[in-house]
Amino acid sequence: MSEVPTRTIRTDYLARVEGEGAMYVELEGDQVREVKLRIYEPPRFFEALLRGRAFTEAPDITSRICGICPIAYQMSAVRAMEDACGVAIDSGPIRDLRRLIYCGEWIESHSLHVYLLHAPDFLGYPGFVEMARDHPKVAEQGLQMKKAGNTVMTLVGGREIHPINVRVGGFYRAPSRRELRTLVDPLEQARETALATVRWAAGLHFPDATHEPELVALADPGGGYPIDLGRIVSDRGLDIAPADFDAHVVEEHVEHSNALHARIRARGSYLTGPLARYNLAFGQLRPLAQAAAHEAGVGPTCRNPFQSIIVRAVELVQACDDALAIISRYEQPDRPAVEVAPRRGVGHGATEAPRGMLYHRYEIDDDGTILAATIVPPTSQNQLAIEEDLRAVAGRHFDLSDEELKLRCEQAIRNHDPCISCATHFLDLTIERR
Amino acid sequence: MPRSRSVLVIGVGNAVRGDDAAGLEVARRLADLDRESGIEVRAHEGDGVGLLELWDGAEAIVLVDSACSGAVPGTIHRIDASSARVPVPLRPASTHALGVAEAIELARAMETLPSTVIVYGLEGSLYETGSSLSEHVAPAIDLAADAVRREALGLLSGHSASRSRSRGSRSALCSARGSGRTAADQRE
Repeated sequence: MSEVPTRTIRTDYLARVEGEGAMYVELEGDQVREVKLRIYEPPRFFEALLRGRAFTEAPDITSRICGICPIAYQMSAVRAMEDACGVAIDSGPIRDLRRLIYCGEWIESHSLHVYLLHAPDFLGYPGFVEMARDHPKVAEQGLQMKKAGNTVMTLVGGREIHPINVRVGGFYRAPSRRELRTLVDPLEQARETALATVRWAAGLHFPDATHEPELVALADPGGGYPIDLGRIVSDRGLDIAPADFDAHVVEEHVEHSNALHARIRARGSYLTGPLARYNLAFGQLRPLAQAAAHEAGVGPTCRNPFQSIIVRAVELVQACDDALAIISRYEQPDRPAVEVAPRRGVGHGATEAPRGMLYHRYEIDDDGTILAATIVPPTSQNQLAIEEDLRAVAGRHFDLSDEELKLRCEQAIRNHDPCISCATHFLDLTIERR
Repeated sequence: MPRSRSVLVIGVGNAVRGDDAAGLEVARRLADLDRESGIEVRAHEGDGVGLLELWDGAEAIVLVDSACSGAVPGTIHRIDASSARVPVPLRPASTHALGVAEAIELARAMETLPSTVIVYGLEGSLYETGSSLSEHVAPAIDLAADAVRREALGLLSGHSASRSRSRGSRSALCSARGSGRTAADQRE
């Protein structure tokens, strides 16, 4: 029997993440023996459900996978179906509307995470209710900004949750220029709040950490910040079309989780999401967002996952400013959608959900019937990198008490905003010391 | 801006996760109430934060969601959350970071909670993705809809039975698997 004390730290129900899951960390002295982020239910049910359905149904069916990022599911689905049918909508008002509604989702999701899920970790509260009692203004800012995102999604998407206006080829109805102008006031307000959020987040205390996984994000061919389309690139030389995703990324089943772990075949784990986008595309941020980042002192490189709260705040500025630019140049298209005729083939779509890249692949028949579907959500892609980060954090902070270490480890997971309801069903947390 | 209807019924849930759809089903059964009575009836999917916007300006709300307390599946819980927390074991089930109970407490902390908040929880047993309502919960939907209808009408006329009851009380109204008695029969 070892004389080195071993301890286990576990959280059986991880709070302030989307969905449910568990964390398990086992330490022997200052050595981390084992780390597991347990995730139970990937969206395999949806992949099976999609078979036999019409290609036009994929955006609406897959949007049900997540109530937080339905637009991401719809956008990856329409991109993939259009790709299968030989259609590309890479510019013009339809693409603009897609980017606009996606900005709405980023604003909604990031403000929820920054203010209600992540902020309590930094302000020293067990939860957002306790935080809101002492800092009602902080909670109010988050809710106000989230509401601006909802307003965008409702106007462009028809309703805020599981929007109904998105279709393969475009939209069922394109809003008028006048309708979009009604979004200017709330978005300008949200942009101001976002700028204040960056300043506020920059003043928080951040534990030291350097997590160096390969960073993967889309590269927008038009020079914009990655959201709705582009090639898949990394900081270690990956540069592939979404169609080559399968050739470079392998999904593996691991015993402790029902979600599949994705890894780059040649190298291993990788991270998608705000940190990856920020480091790979800092130069593509709008000038206002870049200036806010500089003012916050983070600069073009940020590898500390605890500082992802600042990066999300910068992306809030980016999304508000991008949305306002789209509205200002928008002209209502003659037709809200382009014709997309089905043909036998395979299509791929990758877009940037708020928490990371979401990949869809469909094989369809001549009449558009779906023959096969593959959905790789961001949390499945990030899971290995999150576990490695957790291992590094537990090793660096092994001298904390069990309770403090548990909180630090939970925070390390929340740094990555995992959406376990997309990737899974249930999450709990354990740290074991021997 | 003040809302035109002061009493709001919100059915909460997820349509594709078994018994989690119970609240949505109850809201669907009460569509006539929305058309004819002056009570607003809404269905809400997604995270709980959206509820704060949905009930903004309402004076009284009745929330209907699935619950996970270990009680017999099909049991209908009634909780007056106007001034007391929803008891932890009766927290309605949610796969989101913020469910109904958390939304209520957040609004209470921010002092934006409507003055009357009644929560109906339908005890569920099956939450698998893609499944429909379980055999225990499906028969309870009508009973729950009746109870919520009476509650909302009572609130509208200002004669809610809840007013005479102490705040924060809760009662298991009935089990659909029980003797077939109605919700009203078993009210405390």
